[in-house]
Amino acid sequence: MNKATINRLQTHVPGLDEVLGGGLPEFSFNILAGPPGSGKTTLAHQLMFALATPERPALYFTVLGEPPLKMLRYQQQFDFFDSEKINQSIRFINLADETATGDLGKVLARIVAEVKAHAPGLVFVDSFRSVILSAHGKGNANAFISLQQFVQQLGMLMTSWQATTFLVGEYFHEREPSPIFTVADGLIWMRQSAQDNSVVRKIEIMKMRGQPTSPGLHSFRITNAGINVFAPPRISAPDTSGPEEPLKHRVAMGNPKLDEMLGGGLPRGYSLLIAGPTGSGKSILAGTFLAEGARNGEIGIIAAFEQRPNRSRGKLLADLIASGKIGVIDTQAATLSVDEISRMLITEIERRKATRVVLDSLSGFEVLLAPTFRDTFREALSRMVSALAATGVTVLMTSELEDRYDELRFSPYGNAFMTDAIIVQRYIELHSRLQRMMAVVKVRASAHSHELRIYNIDDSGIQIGDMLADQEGLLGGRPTHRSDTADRSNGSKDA
Amino acid sequence: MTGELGVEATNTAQIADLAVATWRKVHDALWPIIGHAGVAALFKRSLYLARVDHPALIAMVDVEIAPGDFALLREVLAQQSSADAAAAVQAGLLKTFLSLLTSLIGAALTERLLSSAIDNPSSGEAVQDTLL
Repeated sequence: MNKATINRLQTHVPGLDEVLGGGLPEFSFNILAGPPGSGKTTLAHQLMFALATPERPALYFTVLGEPPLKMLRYQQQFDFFDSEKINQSIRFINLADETATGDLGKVLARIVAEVKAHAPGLVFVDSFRSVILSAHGKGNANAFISLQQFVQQLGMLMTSWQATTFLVGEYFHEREPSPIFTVADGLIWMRQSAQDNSVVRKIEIMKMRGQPTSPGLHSFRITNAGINVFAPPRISAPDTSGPEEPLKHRVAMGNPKLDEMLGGGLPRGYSLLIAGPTGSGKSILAGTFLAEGARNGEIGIIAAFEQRPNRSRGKLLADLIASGKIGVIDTQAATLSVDEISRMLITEIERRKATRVVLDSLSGFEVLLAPTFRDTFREALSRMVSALAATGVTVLMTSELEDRYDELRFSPYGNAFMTDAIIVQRYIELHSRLQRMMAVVKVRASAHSHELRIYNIDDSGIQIGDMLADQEGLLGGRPTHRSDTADRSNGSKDA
Repeated sequence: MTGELGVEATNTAQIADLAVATWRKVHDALWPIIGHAGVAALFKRSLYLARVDHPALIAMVDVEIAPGDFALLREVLAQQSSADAAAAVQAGLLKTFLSLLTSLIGAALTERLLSSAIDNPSSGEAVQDTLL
């Protein structure tokens, strides 16, 4: 009745344990596959340096492929590389001589001898394709079969020697059924895709026996610290706080008239979308929102997706950033993915115990996104908003919206449904002047104003004025006096 | 190493034997990690670089040498005019080899890999001292 216990090794590669579904099963036989330059050797080293201990030593077999000297030269640039472990808990063994014979039996015999000599808990064979090639290269008619036998024997041997094993494969055709894949307990696929000027690295756990992995492609980045996998943000558990809870606690926007329009401030933990044309003051509202938080001792986080990073954010905001009351997420990387930003935001929210978050703007975000992610922007954004909601922060997002006077739209991303509150801003022509107006379109489960209010922007921010009670057709951009009964069809449609 | 040398290494043949013993240890420490061919390539490159200061090594530069075979080196060292001269050639060659390896994989790792083979691998000067 007692089941075997599968111990899961924590890899400490950021995000990888989550994607793996809780860590790496001990004594598993894994394949790290992918084209050259996709980060396989780096991942293998990062895993090895994290997992190798005197009690669980590692053997790293290098086959042809990358010359070991070069591998050591480049891998030691990473922070995880610890020279102290070499020849202690980590041993590199070169199999070039055995591989050169083209006889897989000799390669296996050497591996067996070394495994017996050192009793490793971790075994890496890098790279595996060289083994396959050399078997084919010698005109070995039984190369395929012997390769299969080789892998099967290796798998069997390693499992009975209680070694967690990794075959690093330079490249395998993922669609081609390979006997190696059948034998493997785990199959980790690494890729890099280039589109336009951006290269994006992605990792996929195609197979991991006995545990629920996170499906699909996950983007990762390689920095001096090594590989960082951006696991998709955990989708929030069903809201247990109860529907009335957020409504009790309202968050001040820093503008009393706006708070009044929202029905007494924005319910805490809500996400608010401010949609409007360029120059309508969305960023100013966002800044006021953060400044108000800072005034109340709250910590805010801003992810500003500006195309000009040096553009001034206004003195108030700049001072708050300088004093550490507002954290800034660096969004300048050219190959941004939504999951990466989500992770950065959530890490920063948890680290600083932030309560207010601003994303300014979604339009800029989309531009900065690596092209390969643009197709799924909407889905990813929805995941991000859910994940942010799960942290309990109040989120303000801005969205650039071209004025279209024949329709009422809130967001070009169709993401209006996933935000709890929406404010829309517009330009209108009034008395031969260009004026701005705004309205609260939605505050979920809360009463709010339905008025279209005119507003001005001056040095102290946004000054919300009165409702234009004597005008109608405002949404059409060209309001008319109410006494003038000549109705404008597009105006009344939206009202 | 110093103890091994002591006062006994008074002629070129003794210096040559000790030098070959050192190179064997270096080879044995490195080949499991970077392969026989990998060590041989580093050795060849060291000969090429060290020949400028130690013309005695020119004789070895264009010769096919099997990995781990130091017979020719022994011959060259034994033919030097004095024990001091032989020791200087060996010290120069080893120093070149170590700085080449250090330039490729750094001092920490070089030290780590060769600590069992030679004293103080990161310091070429000390190596020279022990051999003189």
